[in-house]
Amino acid sequence: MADKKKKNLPPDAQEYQAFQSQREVKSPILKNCLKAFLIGGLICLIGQIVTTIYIYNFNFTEQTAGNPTVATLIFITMLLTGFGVYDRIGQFAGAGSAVPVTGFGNAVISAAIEHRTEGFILGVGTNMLTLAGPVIVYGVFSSFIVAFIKTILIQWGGL
Amino acid sequence: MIFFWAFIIGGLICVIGQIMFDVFKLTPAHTLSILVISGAILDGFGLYEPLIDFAGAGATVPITSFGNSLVHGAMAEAKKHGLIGVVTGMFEVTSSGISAAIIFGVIGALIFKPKG
Amino acid sequence: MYGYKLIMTFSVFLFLIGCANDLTGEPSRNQENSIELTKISSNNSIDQSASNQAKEILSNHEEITAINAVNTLETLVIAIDIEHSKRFRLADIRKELTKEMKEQFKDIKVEFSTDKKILLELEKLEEKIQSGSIKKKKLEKEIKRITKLVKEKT
Repeated sequence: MADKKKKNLPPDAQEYQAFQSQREVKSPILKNCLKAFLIGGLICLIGQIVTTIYIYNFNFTEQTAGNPTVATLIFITMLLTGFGVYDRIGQFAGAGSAVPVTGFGNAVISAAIEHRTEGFILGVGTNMLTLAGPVIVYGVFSSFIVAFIKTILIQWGGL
Repeated sequence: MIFFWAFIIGGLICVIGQIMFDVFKLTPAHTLSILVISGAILDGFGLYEPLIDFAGAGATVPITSFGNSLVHGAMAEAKKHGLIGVVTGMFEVTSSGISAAIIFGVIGALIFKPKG
Repeated sequence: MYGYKLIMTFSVFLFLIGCANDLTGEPSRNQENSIELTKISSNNSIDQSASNQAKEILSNHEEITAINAVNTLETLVIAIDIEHSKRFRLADIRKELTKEMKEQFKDIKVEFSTDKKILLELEKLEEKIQSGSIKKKKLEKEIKRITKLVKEKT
């Protein structure tokens, strides 16, 4: 579209058009990053609030409060996913909703809900871990490599 | 203060994910896998725990903390039982994310209707 | 529409930052020049001299912003909080100070923690001791419970 306009314009304006179209491509990435930053940060902030509630009101320490926090966040994600809200957040925030553990939960839960019509064993059970699969597989495997190397180094180097 | 840093660090990790989406054109599965592996590697160098101490949930909520927990479990067990602990100890310290996701996934499938 | 959402979210963020600094209320060392700690009076029926001594020693450290400590005849439990900017080194600081405390109090079992929960629990316990509303046996039970909390990993 810009090309058609270019032919009819004086050279200065054409130069500006070229300059403008060069600049245009970058802003979606910046905007997306800002959106991801805001929503991702917000989710983590909510996580921090939940952690603080668990520390002050229940018998959890800073070390042990992480587990109930994650469980609570995923419970909230179940509600948001079930009512279709999380998908809208996802469209807005991109990685901001996919990177926190709530995104992991959403992937599992939305797959479970979606494939219910195919039955619980073949539908829900088989498809639930489609996104979670690589995360768990490579999480475990890379941790194995890291811990293996570290343990060997400690035993040999007498760290 | 920790609330502020939880927001900032959590946001920054998500920005890294967004850059993987937009600039490197990776799928969510690839991005999340790379992030988990990064968490594991960072903990191998002892860099992830200080981040958790500083940013709290900003470091424990993103998926990177999953890699960190796995390495922790493996190292703790290896300390007690030697090299075999690396294999057996991995899920000792964490299973909260996976268990919760699966449990609430099944419950979700039971109570919610699929859309469209 | 997206612009509106962006502005809304950003405002929430700013609002929360503003509130967060008020809520946490950690006394910054530079402003007040004092650490949050209370020494238990020496004419109290339950002797807390070891705890008071620990607080004395620890208050010489610049980065510490709060100290709570309670002891029985056999155990001394200490919890501290440090400036947020130093939290990257929390594990190292914890190791150093644990060593220091263990060297200072060689004849008593020392439990040292930087955990917020332990700080809270010790604060509650200190108040009870100060007001005289807790008996020795109950105190020992509480110390045992808190020691267990310090050791919990999951």
